[in-house]
Amino acid sequence: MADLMQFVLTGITVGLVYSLIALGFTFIWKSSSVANLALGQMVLLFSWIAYGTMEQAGLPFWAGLPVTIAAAAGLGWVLERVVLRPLIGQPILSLITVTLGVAFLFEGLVAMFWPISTAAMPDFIPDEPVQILGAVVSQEYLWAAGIALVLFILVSIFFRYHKMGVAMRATADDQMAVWACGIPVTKIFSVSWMFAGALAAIGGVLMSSIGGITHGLVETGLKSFSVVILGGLDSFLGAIVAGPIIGLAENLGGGYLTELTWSGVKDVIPFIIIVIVLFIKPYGLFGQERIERI
Amino acid sequence: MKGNSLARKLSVILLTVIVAGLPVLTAGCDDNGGGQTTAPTSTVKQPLKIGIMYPQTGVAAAKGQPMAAGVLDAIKYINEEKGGVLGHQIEVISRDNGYDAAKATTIINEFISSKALLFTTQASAMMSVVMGIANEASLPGFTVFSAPSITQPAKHIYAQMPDYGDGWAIFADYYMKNVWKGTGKPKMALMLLNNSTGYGAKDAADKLAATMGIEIVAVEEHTSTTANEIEALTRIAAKNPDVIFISSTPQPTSIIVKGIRDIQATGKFAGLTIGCGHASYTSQLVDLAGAAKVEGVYGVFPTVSWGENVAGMAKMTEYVNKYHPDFKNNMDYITAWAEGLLIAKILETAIQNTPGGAANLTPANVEKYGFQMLNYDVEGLHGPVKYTPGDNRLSKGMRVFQVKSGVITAISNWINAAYIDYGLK
Repeated sequence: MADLMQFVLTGITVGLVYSLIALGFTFIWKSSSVANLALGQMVLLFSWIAYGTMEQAGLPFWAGLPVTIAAAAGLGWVLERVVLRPLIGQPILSLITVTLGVAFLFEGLVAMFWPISTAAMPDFIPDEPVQILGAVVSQEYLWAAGIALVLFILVSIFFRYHKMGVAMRATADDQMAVWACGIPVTKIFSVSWMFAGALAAIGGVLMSSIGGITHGLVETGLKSFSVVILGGLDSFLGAIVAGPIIGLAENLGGGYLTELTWSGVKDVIPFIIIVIVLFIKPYGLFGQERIERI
Repeated sequence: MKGNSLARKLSVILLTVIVAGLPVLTAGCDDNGGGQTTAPTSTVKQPLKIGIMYPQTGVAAAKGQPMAAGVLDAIKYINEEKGGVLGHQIEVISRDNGYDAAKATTIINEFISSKALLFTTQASAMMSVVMGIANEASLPGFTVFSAPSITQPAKHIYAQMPDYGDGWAIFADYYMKNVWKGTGKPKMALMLLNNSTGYGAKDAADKLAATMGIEIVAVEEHTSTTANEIEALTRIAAKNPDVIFISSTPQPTSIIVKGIRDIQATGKFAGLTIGCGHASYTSQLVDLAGAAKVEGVYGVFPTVSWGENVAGMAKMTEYVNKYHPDFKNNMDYITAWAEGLLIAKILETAIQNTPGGAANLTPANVEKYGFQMLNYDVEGLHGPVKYTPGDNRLSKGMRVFQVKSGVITAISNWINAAYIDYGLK
């Protein structure tokens, strides 16, 4: 029973960490229908920027984090303004492909400015683990999970009730129609990339506090794609639900199937679940179905 | 419309510049120009062309960055301060493989077609990928970090230092003689990276554990990018091991050690001893996990520590301070500096022993008259290098360390790893 509790608790908290990163992807998709393939690299770069502000420049955490978020939002704005804006109205594949180029660019920037390649994020979360019903969980995961839930609530409210959020949804639906209605599409894109940058920065800082700042953050970003696919590309609820599903699949599957199968089975189980779900629900658990009359 | 068209053209130009600049950017900005061919300085003697690959980017960059710096700094030292090898400049084709099998394959083929005399890799996983091609081409090479499957059966590939299997064997022997105070067989769990780094340790455990009186109660694998291993550790805890041996790289090891400490807060893993293989036992492990978490953790490592009184320390320290101060106190820099010295010594030995000298240097002669006639102390930076027929491990010495007050501290003298015949074909 204690083991079951441990697997469940670990699965949910680790899954919510994936969700945290996935929210940034969903934000961009929901507002511009662009699949941001540079997500993992954004997380990596902004983690290094956080390290630069807090460890290298010596800012305290309460000052360093806002500076990092502002820098990430600024970089998101520059990215949209310089790289993506010229592609407005172009085939969506061009927009997606350019994010791949941005991913390589970001990796290059990291290699150029932080050649040490690995570093520990300054401690800002207590490292005593918390015990819940016989299971143990690190506070780093609890903080990441809690912040993921708070951000989910905030972005959901923003998209549902805020004028800019509604405009973003409309833009994702039909850029040209929105443009024709006089809504400033370019501004919407700028804001959405700024938000995405800020989300990636928060996710990066929290992820780095768990396992350090390493290239592994890119792979964690990639893992979040599976969360997005499972939950639905355009659904915040999907991201926040699919993360724990994948986390639980990894931990429960690994916990109970490893001895019956092979060590490493836990890395395969989530993808088996994703394939099965997509057979049944091709748009993901909460993705919007798009059925067009032809 | 005109403005739009201009903007579009400008964006196309910008993107072209970005894409064209990627190789330069991803090569980093190493002082030694990583990823470039170091042109020989003017000399009347022919340069000696060699290939070096390292994981300067990718998931193993934590080790690849300091190692790329170390080996290129050492070659720089040989070329500029010592005038090369017997007057011949070493011409380096240095490439970042990104810890990526496809890239490594491309690079080894480049080394072969460039007529390199020898080549090196730093990661055992990358040597595992390319050694088939190199053996086929009879191109001799060595890997800094190694696994039994690389040097057995002995062909054209060598190991600079003892392999991951040797690391396990040395730690297990030390544990049995100096740490284990219980009765009966101690129970050991293995936490292994899912490549040759982990499998090398497992090979040795499979071969030797029973005869050493150790019971292996769990074998768990993880990826190099794992974010959490609590699930595996929970299952291991149920088996109540006395000791866990981790054969992995620094970042996953830090995750595992932190997980063990978290679980210990519940009363499990009481009295557990933690041992690490040499791929992860560096200052980065202490940085990533935190000094308090790794306090008392044992590890094996095949080189001296920074500041030890050995012949090669002063020059190496001078170079790291001058060119790569970020890697001061990083033990991987030492392994790779020694790699550079070893490359030079192999070439020097080959020139001295090959009939006709440098004019007749070929990969085959470099292997026969260089690798296989080595007798070198590596300026005391790691165990002496001497070839033993049938055993392609060039150095066999390791020491056991322990983290004390946050510092990795040697607690044993050099221990030579006996040759273990794995019966690999």
